[in-house]
Amino acid sequence: MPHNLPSEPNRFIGRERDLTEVIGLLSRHRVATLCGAGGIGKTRFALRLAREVVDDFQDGVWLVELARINRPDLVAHAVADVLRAHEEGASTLLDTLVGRIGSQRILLVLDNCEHVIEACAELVDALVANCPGLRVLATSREPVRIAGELVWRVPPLELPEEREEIEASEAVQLFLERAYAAGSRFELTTETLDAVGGLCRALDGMPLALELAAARTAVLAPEQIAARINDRFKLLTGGDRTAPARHRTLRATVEWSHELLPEEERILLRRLAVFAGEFDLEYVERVCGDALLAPDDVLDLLAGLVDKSLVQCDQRGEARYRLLETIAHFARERLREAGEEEELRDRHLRVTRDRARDDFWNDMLVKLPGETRLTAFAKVADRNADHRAALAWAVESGQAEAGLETACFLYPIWAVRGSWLENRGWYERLLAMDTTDVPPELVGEAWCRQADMAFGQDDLAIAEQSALRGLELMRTRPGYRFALGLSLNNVAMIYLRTGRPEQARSHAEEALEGATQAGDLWNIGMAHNGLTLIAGLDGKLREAQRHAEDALVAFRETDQPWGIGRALISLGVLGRIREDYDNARANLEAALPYLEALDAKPEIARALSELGRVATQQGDLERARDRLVASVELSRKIGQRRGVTRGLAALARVAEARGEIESAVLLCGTVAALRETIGQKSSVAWAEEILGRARAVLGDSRTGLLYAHGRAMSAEDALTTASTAQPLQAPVSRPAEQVAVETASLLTAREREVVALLVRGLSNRKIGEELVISTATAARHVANIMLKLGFSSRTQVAAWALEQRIVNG
Amino acid sequence: MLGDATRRNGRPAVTDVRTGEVLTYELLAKKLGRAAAGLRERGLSTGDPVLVHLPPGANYPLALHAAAAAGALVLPLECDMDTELFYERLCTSRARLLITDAELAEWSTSAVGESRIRQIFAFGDVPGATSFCDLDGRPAKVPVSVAASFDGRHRIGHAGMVTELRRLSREVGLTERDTVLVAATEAREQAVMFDLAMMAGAHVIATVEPTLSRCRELIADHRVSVAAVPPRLAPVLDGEHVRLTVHGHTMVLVRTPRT
Repeated sequence: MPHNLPSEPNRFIGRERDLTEVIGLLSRHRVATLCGAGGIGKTRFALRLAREVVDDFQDGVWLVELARINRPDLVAHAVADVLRAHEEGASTLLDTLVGRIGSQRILLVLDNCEHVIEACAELVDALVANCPGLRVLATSREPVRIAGELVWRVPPLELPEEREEIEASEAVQLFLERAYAAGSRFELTTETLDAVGGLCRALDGMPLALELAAARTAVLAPEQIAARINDRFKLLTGGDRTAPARHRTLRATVEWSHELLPEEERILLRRLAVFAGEFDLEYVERVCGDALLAPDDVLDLLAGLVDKSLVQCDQRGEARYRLLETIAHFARERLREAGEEEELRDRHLRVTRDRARDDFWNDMLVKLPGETRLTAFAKVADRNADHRAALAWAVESGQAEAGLETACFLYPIWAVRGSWLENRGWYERLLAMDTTDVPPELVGEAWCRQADMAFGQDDLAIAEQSALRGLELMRTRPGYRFALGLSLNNVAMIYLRTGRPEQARSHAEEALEGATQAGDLWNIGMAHNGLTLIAGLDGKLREAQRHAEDALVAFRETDQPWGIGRALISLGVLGRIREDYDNARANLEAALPYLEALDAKPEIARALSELGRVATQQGDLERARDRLVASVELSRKIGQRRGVTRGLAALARVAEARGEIESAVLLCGTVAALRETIGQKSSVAWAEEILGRARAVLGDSRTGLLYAHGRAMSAEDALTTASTAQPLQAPVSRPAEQVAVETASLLTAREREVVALLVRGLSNRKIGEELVISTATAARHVANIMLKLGFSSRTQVAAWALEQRIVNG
Repeated sequence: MLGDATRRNGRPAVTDVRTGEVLTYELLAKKLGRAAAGLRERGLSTGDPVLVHLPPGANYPLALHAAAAAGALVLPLECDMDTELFYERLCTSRARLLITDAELAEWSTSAVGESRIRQIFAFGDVPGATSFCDLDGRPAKVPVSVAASFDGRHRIGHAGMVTELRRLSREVGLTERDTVLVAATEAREQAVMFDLAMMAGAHVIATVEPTLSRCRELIADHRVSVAAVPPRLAPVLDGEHVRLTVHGHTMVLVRTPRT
């Protein structure tokens, strides 16, 4: 089953009964929170648990690390990042997430919620209410506080009570395992065991404290460690008596472990606090290295910190490092004490900008083999937490220029990932700063990128306004350059969407001319892409075809899978319009591998949908249905409701062509309801036609009822209906009765009881009393019944039930 | 212990003076089965220590007997226990579950953070705790090994409990016609008085306000026949004073004069 859980760095020890218990509880509770002090092992326990249940969640177990999130509004974005839910138009991200998760069986692991607890509570509450297959496992110092939450307190590891228990106790097992792994050679005599048992007790069985202590056993005997930590502990407890004991124990252990570090390792450890997420060696060398800390020494120092369990290392592929939250917190304090915080944050911002710039040129311009480009792309995307931290520092410290440069270099990643809302916010925050000393063309570029984010959100008025403002500022510097080409191409798209093809054409042509002179292949491809659409919409198919072919040539030149895929889709659409279906199919099918390699789901869904339409035209209804179902399924998975609506509409036409008129009517209903939800306004004449023909075959009342059922159906149910529908065998002789049977089966047994009481004219309170349920529950049943049947009043339900003999009045 | 409970139907088992709630034997038996099964479903295994930290009231026998019926080693704690002692009991008992109520929760949950308690069940709305009343498991046969401990160290097995209760029952001689005031909060006294009263089918009047005037008022209002009150009050109440030894602890019961 799919998951994004990190590999376990070492053997997980103890807590067997706890694991079994919580796994059992997780099957009954949709939200479970593992609570406990820092260093008690919540995260490790959650990850172990998640690993154990991976097979139970067919749609995946997804870890969202929130320790890196510094603003409550970013919680939903962090979840969307992990689930690859792409924002769509003006919908809220929450709606998109609900659409993305739907009824899939997913376990979401939210790690370290405590600092964004309210945002977590709101999000989880809404997701759980709307996504029946979702379960959430959270770790937090405090309960998340949402209804139905199971709060499970993670205790320290079991400590030995009796002498004979020492070796078998969990705390001692962990200590010994880690000590041997760290290279210690002590023999397990009765005396050593006593000393280890004493040390584990002194450390309160706190896993992090045990690991830090065990890492030192190669040079210090357990008794020595116990004595030294005890001294530290006395120092700490001298003042503060209110801090909980375990907190003091951990603090003493971390301080002790830190004190033993050579000076250079101490410097590096505190500097690592500047990273928000996982980091690689190059990042550390560039940010932390200076006269005080030679970059060449960084690797050895980092390895030293890993050996001492102060830094975690993930060795899959290229080594990536991270700090546990407790250690990161400690390191931040040391960084502040050393007076280095500002300087390090500045360096972090500069290095993050430079890396974004290098990646930008690589991604957009340099010819790279497909695989290498993909890896590079994924690496940049993985640094999202650090991008956020750097941009936040730019805003906080008033460094508009560095911030704007970073945001503009990150644009390609943001555009491809489709995270409009958050990133539009970054441009806006940076542009709101004092930009008097910033080169105007950079400010202009940022306005154009902000425009593109607004365009992605369907906020066309703002998109146009910002784009024109940005373009004007950019033109203050003469001559063509890559960033200008990008802006011209985006402006062309905005004009096309706002219904001004001539302006669109002039901007795309300007981009094409400048890019051709400069040999800028990306913008050549993009300009041809735009011109394909402009000509296509104008009915100039031959011209459109030429542009699409030229776009393909340009993108092939740089081996850009995304561009190649898009150009092939354009060629496919043109083929369909020309009724050259074989050609259309060949191009569309050729696009798929490029898009699949990138995991560009929105484009894959579009290609599949087009393939479905081509197959419909070719009369291959079976294949048409398969392609369209796959397309809708994919759109649903990424929460793209426009894609879902378009696909279901095409399926309705396929259903009608297959003689499945009832299924077609149901789908018309679902599509209508979905269009209203997302405010889509294109023509629905096709639906009216299907409904008109259905009325002739099925009669008015049956068509109406099926349509109402369709309206109440979820996209998922509609999809099932579409993929399993059977052609209507014979004309319906007694429509009213058949509808009644079918409709009634939509109701649960309890709902049918409620219908019977509605017929008797009972109020919710009376219904509650009659069925021994609360008034609120009765009201919920009534609301569900109306929703399922598509009625707006209880009287309608009662009248219908009587008329259709659902109940005896 | 509550074998006859269902036959006692609508007869009152406990009147909770603080809330005014009246728990009947029938309801007690019904809630008990579900709560016990709920505790099992939430991970309670036979022999697990469970701390019961509740004042005398309608919730007390429910929590105590549900935990026992689920096979727990029940550890009743005084509701007005001193913090140090409470914390020590949390740690030494190795208890995984704590049952408490909204009034005591704020105080007890802060200490829980340092113990091995995995889950907290509470009467009333307590953040971070599961509502005890929501425990609604499907009753199933459980390998019962009812046992209790009053000091967290010495365990009293099922047989020991029953023998002790039978002996006390003979000494006190409660019947269905008795009304018993429980104002004592000492762990053994509170637990034993509830047990004896429930075994006999008597009616318990439970109060968390053990002042002399309040006890006198309740004795009069409810026609209390036997009163278990804090040791400082027993000598000043009218009636026959009966000394009992409960699990090694001496308590004084007051048999009120018949009116």
